[in-house]
Amino acid sequence: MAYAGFLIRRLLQAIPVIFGVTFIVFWLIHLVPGDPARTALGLHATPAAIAKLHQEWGLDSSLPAQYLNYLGRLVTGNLGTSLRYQESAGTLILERLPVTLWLIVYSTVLVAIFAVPLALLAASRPGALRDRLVSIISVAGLGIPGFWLGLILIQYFAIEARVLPAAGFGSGFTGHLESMFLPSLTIAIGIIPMVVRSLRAEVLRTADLDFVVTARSKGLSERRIRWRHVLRNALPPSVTILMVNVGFLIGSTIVVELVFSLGGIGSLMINAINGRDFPLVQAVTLFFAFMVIFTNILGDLLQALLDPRLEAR
Amino acid sequence: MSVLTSESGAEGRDLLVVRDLRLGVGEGEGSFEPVVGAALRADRGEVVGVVGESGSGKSLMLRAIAGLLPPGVDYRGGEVTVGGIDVPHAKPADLHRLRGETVGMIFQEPMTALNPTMRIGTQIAEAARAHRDLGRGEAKARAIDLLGRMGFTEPARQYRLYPHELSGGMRQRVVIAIALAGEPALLLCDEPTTALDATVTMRVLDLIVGLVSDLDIGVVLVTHDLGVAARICDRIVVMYAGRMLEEGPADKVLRRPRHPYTLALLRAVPTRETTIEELRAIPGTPPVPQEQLPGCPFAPRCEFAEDACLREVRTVAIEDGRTTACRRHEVLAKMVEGAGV
Repeated sequence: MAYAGFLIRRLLQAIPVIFGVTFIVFWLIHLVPGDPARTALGLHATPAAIAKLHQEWGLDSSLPAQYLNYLGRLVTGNLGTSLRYQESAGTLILERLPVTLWLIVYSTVLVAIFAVPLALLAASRPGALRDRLVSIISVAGLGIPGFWLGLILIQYFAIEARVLPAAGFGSGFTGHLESMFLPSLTIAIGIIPMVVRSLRAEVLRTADLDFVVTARSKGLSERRIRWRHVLRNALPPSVTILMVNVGFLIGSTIVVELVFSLGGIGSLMINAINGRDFPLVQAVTLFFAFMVIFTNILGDLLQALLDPRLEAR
Repeated sequence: MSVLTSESGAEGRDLLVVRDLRLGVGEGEGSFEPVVGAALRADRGEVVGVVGESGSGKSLMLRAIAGLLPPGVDYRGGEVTVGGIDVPHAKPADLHRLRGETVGMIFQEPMTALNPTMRIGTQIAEAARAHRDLGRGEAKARAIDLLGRMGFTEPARQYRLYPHELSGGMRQRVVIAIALAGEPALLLCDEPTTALDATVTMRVLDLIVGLVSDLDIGVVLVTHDLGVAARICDRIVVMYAGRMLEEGPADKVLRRPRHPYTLALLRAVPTRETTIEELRAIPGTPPVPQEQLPGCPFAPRCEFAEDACLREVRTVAIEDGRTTACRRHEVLAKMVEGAGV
């Protein structure tokens, strides 16, 4: 299939980016002045402990050698050992992965569910009341800070109305669906406005194209024209916007996981930073970077699926 | 004198009748009428050409026939009747029946007239399904059949192609197949060959002519190319500044024009014998639609014009079932008969 070739090409293109990311992540620890081992262990560490870590991390060898060593470890799947948990960072991330993945996928789905009808509604009569209402709501959604919105949602839906849980991951698929709704909605509300804005503009642009007149001249219903011809062609650019934002969203999971007491990778990151757990910070940063690269590739793949003209390139 | 015209008018059985059509743009101060008093009729089995330069309102008139006026343009008066449907006052259900089932439309730009994200076969099949209760399989079979008839050599395979995988000429054939999918009685062609190169143009024109006899449909062909009009049209309507200036059988209108504008158009057509010095551009520029003159819109550029032309314009019937909007057509006739075009 042609998509396989497309995917392989896209993966190959990602290799330099991956190298760049590992390079930056490796250097992070050396950006802090002084001996990384001392920085990690803090002021009150014994010289013996520092010396041990110093040796463990191979800090005596040259930087290039250290980097190669680091890469070598990564290739074998070793992301390092957390100082605080005394466990493999990879295992720690994997344990918490379901929560974060749920959050990301759920909020992306919510964005799609809300953004498409809102954009179509706004574009159905540009300049009309409904269009202005949608844009006002969008601006509001864009301006509200995530942590504050999360607290408000907890207040109304969990504490006062008692329809949804205030915190936790829940158990079972429906349990997750319930528990993760508010946190996912919190993230989605920050992204919906951008997708609505782009999709609305794209729908209006597409509605003026010649092939829509062709579609109308066939005697198709307005409904079919709107969904099959206009929306279908307006989607690809907005999918890009969405996927770029999913990249950012990975970062915003940190705040939302904290507000909703979710034990995901975001909260793991916060613990790691607070505990000066450098290997874990490195590992999580690398993981987040890989997630962003992956969503970008996924976005490109979706584009190619949506627009047959891209497949040929 | 006016035998043919009045007769067909009295019958009232024409597939398409456009009479005194006025189309307006905008409201209030800046409002203007790009089409004022356009007229046209067409029946099954004939090709009617509408010729005129860009901005003469011919494409807009075509859109008005299909009830597909661009946003901001509206009907201001006159009559458009297609297959018994009163287009300007049609209900949505009637418009749905009109488009695709009564009239099919072919557009100028085959590169943009097709949905880039949909397989060409699907685009034809959905047009077939819009009006008939066809299953998916039946619609597909119909689309493949149409593709074959349009000259696709492997229609079953090519059904799955996307528009960007086809040349301009092939795309225009797909557009024609779409227009025919609903088995319309009338095919409206808006400059169907302008974007195509010469050899492809000929093949597409031959295809359209073939359809007229095979399917017994009527064709209205809007073009600025008199060569195209001469090649396939039975009758010709000459439009200028949103108005019909002359109408009649194609060979008569093109050989013995009865309106100075038609004559000027013919003189501006290059042939193999003409040199660049002999080509006669029409002096002056067409009026802008915002400035409506009470008289003949062509009078300011016309070598035959007299004072009365600027005050009033009237369409009269002349011999051979022709009509002209020129009050001095007899003077013109003498000149044309004397000298040839």
